[in-house]
Amino acid sequence: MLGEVQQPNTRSFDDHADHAGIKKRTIKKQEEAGLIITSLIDVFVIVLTFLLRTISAEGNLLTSADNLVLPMSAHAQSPTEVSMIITGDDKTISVDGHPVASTDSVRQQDSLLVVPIYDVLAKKHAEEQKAKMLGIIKEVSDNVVVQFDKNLPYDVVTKVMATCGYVGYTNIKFAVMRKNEEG
Amino acid sequence: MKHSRAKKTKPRELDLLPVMSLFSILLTILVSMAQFEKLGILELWLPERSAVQASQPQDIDEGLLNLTVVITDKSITIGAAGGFQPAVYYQEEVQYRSRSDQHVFRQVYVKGQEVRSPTDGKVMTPYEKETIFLNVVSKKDSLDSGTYVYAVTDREGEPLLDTSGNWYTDVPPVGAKYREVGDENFLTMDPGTRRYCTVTKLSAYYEVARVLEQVHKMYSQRSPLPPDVDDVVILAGQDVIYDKIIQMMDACKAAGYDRVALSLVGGPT
Repeated sequence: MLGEVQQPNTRSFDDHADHAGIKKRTIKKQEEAGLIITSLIDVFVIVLTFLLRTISAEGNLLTSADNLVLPMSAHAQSPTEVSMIITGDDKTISVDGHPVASTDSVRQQDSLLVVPIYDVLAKKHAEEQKAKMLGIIKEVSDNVVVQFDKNLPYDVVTKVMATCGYVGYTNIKFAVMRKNEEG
Repeated sequence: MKHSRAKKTKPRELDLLPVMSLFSILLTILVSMAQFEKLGILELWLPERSAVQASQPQDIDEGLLNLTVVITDKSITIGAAGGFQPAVYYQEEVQYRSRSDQHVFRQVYVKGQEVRSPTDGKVMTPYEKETIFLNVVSKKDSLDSGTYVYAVTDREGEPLLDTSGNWYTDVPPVGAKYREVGDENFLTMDPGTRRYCTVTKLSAYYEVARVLEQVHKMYSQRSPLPPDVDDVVILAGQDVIYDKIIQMMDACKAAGYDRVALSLVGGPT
């Protein structure tokens, strides 16, 4: 008949075994195997604790620039506010991530004033002054953070610093890698 | 008497899978937010511009300390109150890391000399300098090649001072008093610390910090107190590597000088 399912041979293995005279095998009822997660949780707790210790609550006010190695310092402080960043590596000097002048040209010039950097900074300073007049910001910032490769000659550093000073950015801070957790 | 039979029940295990899921989410968020490089800032102090015109001769103020640290390619000199301390001569040793094959090697720096990688022979650029060591050498005069000065350093590489303010040249015995530059309190040597003490070449930054600390202590006790007792100016030439300036600023801060200014040899402050 259609739909009728033919019953398979319902004789069990034991019946067969009995019939064949084979010794009955007793299969022990095994408990369900479960994952032991406790040790994994221990690992997770340790990793979490480590990560929570490394993360600062105020977030990243300063990010390291690519292609340069910052000098190490044991007496550095935490950055407190977001400032304009000037970076200098072996090839270029950049203001807020935009390349402005080549390091070689800055090194070769005699004047302390680096004109391409001055132009960009003056424009930014003028924009800030305009924003202050419009009431968008309270004060014109004079802060600038400089991130220089540790092997850059001091000559380049002083020229960039002097240019910042000419524009009005007189509060100059050096970005460094902290040697320890303090500060 | 009829005993009440409590059924022996197996304690149910906690279902920790939701906790695991929560941890996985938290970990992902934290790892994406983690900042493994600790960035900091070093503040520079800019002296106020003097009201006196440059054409007018300035009177030397007897009360001012005018502490200056002069860095040259062979020595560091400390000047204060119109006089100079004996120069701290150093031998510059550079640890290079080749950009081509990441090979690390050390070499004594000689100005103008070409440095080649021992593995592939490529000429090293100044930007392949990984660490610069300024090892103090004792010299009779500037022509003398000098001999290295050694000091005992602890596990962190900090040289140790004895009670008279000099460097320990031999590992101090257990129970001896010692301190690091910048620390006011003396510590007592214990076997655990002593085990990790080694005698190494003394760094010029520590030697300068030691001298600066002595100057700071001396002038802090003067009456009247010099108005610039916490100020120091670092004077360096154009070719000095920026890292040396930062390390020197660090040494000045370790010695107790909060206000560090920079100046270029032959240039304005």
